[in-house]
Amino acid sequence: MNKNTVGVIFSNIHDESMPELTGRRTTASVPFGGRYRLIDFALSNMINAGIIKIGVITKNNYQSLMDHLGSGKDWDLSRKRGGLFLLPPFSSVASGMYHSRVEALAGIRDFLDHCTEETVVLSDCDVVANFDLSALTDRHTEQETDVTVLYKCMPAMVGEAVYDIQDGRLAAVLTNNEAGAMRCIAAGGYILRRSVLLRLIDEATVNGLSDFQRDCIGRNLNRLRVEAVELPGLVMRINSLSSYYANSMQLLRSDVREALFPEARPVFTKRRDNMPTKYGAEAVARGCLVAGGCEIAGRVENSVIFRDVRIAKGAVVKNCILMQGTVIEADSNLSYVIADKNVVIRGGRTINGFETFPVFIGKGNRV
Amino acid sequence: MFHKKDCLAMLLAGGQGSRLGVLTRKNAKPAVPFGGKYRIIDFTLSNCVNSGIDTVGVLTQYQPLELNSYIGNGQPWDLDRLDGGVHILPPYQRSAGADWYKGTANAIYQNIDFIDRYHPDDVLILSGDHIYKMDYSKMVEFHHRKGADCTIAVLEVELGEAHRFGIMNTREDDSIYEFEEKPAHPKSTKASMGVYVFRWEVLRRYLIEDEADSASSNDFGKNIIPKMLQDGRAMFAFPFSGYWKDVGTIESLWDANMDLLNPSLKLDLADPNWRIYSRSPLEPPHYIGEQADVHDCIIGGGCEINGAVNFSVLFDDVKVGDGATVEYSILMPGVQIAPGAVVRYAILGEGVQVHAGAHIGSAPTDAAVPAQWGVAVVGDNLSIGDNAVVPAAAMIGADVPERAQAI
Repeated sequence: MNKNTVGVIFSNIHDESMPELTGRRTTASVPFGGRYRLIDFALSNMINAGIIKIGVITKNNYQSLMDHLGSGKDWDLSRKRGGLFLLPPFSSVASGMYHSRVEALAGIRDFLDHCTEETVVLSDCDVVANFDLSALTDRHTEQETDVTVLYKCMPAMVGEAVYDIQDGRLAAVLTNNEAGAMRCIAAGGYILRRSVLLRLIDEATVNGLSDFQRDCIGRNLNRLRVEAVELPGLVMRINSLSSYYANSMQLLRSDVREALFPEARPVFTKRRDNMPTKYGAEAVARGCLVAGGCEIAGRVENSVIFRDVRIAKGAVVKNCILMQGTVIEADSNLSYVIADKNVVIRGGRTINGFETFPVFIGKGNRV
Repeated sequence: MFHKKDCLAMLLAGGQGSRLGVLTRKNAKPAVPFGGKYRIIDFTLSNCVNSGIDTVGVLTQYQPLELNSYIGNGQPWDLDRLDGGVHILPPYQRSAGADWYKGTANAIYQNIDFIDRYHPDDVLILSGDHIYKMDYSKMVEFHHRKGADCTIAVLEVELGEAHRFGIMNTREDDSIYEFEEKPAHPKSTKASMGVYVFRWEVLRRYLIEDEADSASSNDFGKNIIPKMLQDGRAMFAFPFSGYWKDVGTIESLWDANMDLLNPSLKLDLADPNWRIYSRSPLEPPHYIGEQADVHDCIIGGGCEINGAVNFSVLFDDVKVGDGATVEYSILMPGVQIAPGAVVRYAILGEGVQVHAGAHIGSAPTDAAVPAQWGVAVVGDNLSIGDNAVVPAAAMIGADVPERAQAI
């Protein structure tokens, strides 16, 4: 039990990085790994760490997210004590449409104010990882740290905030100027003492500052104890359609699946009550991750297949990601295709993308 | 304060299911896994909620731990209600002694107080060991239209099969004039499905009378129904068409699972308007390896398949190693098949480990004496050692050491 910690998840923060997938949904509700949404990984890390009170900050496009989360029942977050709190803009007098993380936090100041928990974990949804968050919150509390920033050394984008770390302490927040350079980047979230977080939000608001990493943390390094902890194990960052594709394909490796779905820390998601997947008489499946509710009558290789997908006889699907409810009719031929939800590929069509440039077919389209 | 319910369901789930052998050693039959994801009771519970019945009493008695924890608060079936919902009803001690449920009718008799709280017009009596999809609301409507005291759902069976069922002999208007349990010379092909609707006021009276009769075996089929017929009560047969199967034996359980692989089966599990709900495990999608050969099968969540799996039903979290073969078999959750093992015509209980090179079961065509062939069954959490052999029709209740030949 981590009853002294409250979780806050930012559902929209990285929406602009992959417009194809977030055109009609939040980053949080981007489907990933056959049956999950990106938010499931952030939520599950918190739940597996015993956090039972979680607020989800939304801005726009959050209908699909609300549909996914419902009352929070499937995450065991439909509770009287704690539970799931959806925090849309304009939910209090002080909150309005936000444009930055600081404004978003200012908008939920009432929520944070009414919490009694000492510690707050902030998390985005652009990172897919399964790690022992409770070990990190315990360490944060035991060492009486003000702020713990979680990071991973990864290729950085130009202009993004990167960390200079010395002896486990955050020494400076810098700006990257070299595309793809290996840098220490925020990944997995921030752990803060709640009183410190409230003070940082108030100071930034008063001074008109908006950058959480540079202004709130970077400018206060000399008066706060800020620890930097590298996330252990596998960390996937989804920040473009091509990284979405490449990371999805990584799931076909058994070591990656073991790292992401360890028995001790299950990944929670919405239940669908579909039937288990059925393979027909002429089905051929090789090297595939396949979720429940599918009917596979054709050939599928090296692909990630979400729930309730139908692949008809004679159809060939290679190196594809087919999201929930995709229907591939007879004798179609697909390679390097990302089909968003409920796409229908009519019989006999051929669509070929390329490994570094997969073809994306938007939600509900018919080809 | 309990609100009145027009109709509530009582689900008989207390039977031992002894014909399922090792599969029900520590588990009541309704909680036996079925169809790659479900438990047998899911079908009846889902039928209730899909038919608009929101109050269900589940009568348990034999090995109820697994069943009770599976049903829990009824949330997976939408039966976690403020008013009504699912209630587990075990036998209990009263001021004047305690009794086990002596028979199906006695089980309902002992829960008269539970039913009375809801003042229902009708009570639906169901059993928890049938695989079917049925809209009970249509049956209740028929029951009202006929002005019946009791309505029994019937299924048309082959004349040659009729001797295995309870047969209802009816008049033109579907009224029942005779009931014959497993008749040697059936007069009709209308088999009882074990689904009854009673006017509660009438049933209540018969249950009390039946309890007072010390000669009675307190059973619906043997006592209550014949007595009501004898008294000339208005009894009707409600014709049901569609898939229905009693999965009380190893053969019928195996058959019913294999039926799911038949594309022309009249039991659509994918129908979004009549879902079969279950308490499903939290497993990632399954993975089919690059060397796997997978066709004609159902595969649950979290499985890792690297061998050949054909004509089989695999529940969640099953692992099939390189070069292993699984054919015409049912592998319950968590079964592990090591590389090179062969499993044919078998039912493996939860968590069974089959080690390298082991052979379980064989095809009916390979049987020396066809009459002695049967599906091989291995009980939960057992281990079948390296190169061990489990023959057809075996019922394994203990670990089989390596290179051993089980009997």
